[in-house]
Amino acid sequence: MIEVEGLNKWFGDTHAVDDISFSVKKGEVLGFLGPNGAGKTTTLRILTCYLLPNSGSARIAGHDIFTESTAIRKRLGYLAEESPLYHDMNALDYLRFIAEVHGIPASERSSAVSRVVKLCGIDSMKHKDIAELSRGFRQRVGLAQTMIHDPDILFLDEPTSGLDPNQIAEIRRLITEIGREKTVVLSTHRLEDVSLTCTRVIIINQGKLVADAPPDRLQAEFTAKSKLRLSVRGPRAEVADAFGGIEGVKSVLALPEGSDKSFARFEVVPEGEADVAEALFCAVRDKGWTMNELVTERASLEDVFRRLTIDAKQEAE
Amino acid sequence: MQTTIAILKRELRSYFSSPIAYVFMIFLLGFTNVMFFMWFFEQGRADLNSFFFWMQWAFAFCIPAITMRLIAEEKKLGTFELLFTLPVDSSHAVLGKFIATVAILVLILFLTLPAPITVAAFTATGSSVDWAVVVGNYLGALLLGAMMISIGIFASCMVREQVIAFLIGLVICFAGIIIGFPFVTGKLPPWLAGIVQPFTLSYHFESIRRGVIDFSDLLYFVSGTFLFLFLSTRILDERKF
Repeated sequence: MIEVEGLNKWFGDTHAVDDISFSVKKGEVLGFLGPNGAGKTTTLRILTCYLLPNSGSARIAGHDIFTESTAIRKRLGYLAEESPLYHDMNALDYLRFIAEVHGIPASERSSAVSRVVKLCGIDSMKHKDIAELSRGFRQRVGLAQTMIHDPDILFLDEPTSGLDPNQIAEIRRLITEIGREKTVVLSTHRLEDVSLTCTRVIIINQGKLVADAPPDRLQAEFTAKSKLRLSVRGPRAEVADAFGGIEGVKSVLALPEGSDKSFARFEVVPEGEADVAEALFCAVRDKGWTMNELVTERASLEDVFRRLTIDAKQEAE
Repeated sequence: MQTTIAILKRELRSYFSSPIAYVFMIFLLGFTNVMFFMWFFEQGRADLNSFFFWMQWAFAFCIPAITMRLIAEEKKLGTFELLFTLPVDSSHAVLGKFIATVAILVLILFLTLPAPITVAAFTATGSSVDWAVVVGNYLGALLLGAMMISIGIFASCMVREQVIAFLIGLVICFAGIIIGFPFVTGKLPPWLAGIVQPFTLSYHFESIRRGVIDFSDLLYFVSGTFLFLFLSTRILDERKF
């Protein structure tokens, strides 16, 4: 559906998109992840034919972005950042206008509009001026706009930014629903968006692509670096010594006391992929101490993200 | 074609939902009529000359004010990005907005009809209004207005701020009128005046207003309008690079 090859974009001296290549298959929901200013929006703007790249090529649904821009724009739906809308229209008129621009014949316009109005749940607000709508509803009108012509591909730029948690859940549910039938590319810096809705994730940082994998695999690649957290009722120093002596334990870190002062809390980092949980439990049992918590902390997508984006920056410096 | 019509309809609707357009339409009508009737009753002549003379000044001020938001506002609201990621090309957008504004201009000109009718009614028997001149004046006003609209759109394409777009449009339109008058050209060396004058708006407007429609005047307004519309589409396409 989308094939991107060696894309580069410069704004003056800034290398906003630095040799990015990837492809998206039909039906995938691709998360486009990166810190602010990483080049997500620029990449989306190139793919939606709003900007031209300085070099590289991209094909959307088989069409070339340089020569077949109109054909591409007919087949995609794009929700720009902040969901820009004409504030002097009501939602219904606005959607009718979009339908007309897409060349939907007058006889089919009403049914196209009512389909997306229903899908995006804006029926109760459709006669209100867009200027009067809340952010959540504006976002839904924006989403409805992207789907009115039944496109093959949707590009959504930060669809959940600026929304409250309920609205975010609602928009995510919508995206998941849409993703069953369509190819979706979704840019975000919110990690839960990706783990909850995407089948694949691409991380970009400073214009470069730094990771490309399904969210769980990306997470799994980093779980080797998982940690264990324990809280034990026993003498703090002795417990730490006992843990330190276990084979496969790389380091033991005493954590600050929690609410219950009688428990000492530790963080244990195993060596490589060694499984030390059982040995830790046995050590506690043999000494007659008790334990009320033993948790394996997997590296979250957030850790992965931070490691890929911040560490890269530090290395560069 | 359908895209252009969709944009045209949206713009027309937007004109009637924004107070700014009404304010300037009323100002334009008010100003030209007041200036005209003051003149008319003083002179007591069946002459629409002053009416159209004042109209070009009112146009120079009001048209950039009406057109200033056309593109600049889209840039500011971000709908610019929305528009050009839809299957809309710059020529569709520029043409749709241009035609919508010309329609508003036609409406304004229609609303000025009471002036010539009044003149005809007050005219003493014996002398009469020269309707050929009136038609020439109206055609001239339409052509002049259309060219100023294209200048206004061009100005609106250049910037994000409506006020700046207004000032750019105002300066071009005013310069285009004032430089054509003898009190400016008279102060220039004759060879320079001869070069500058044919490029001014008022030179060709005055020529059409005499009631004789000259091909060169038509050519000036039509090609000038196209030039500014074309430049506008070029500026809009600049965003891609």
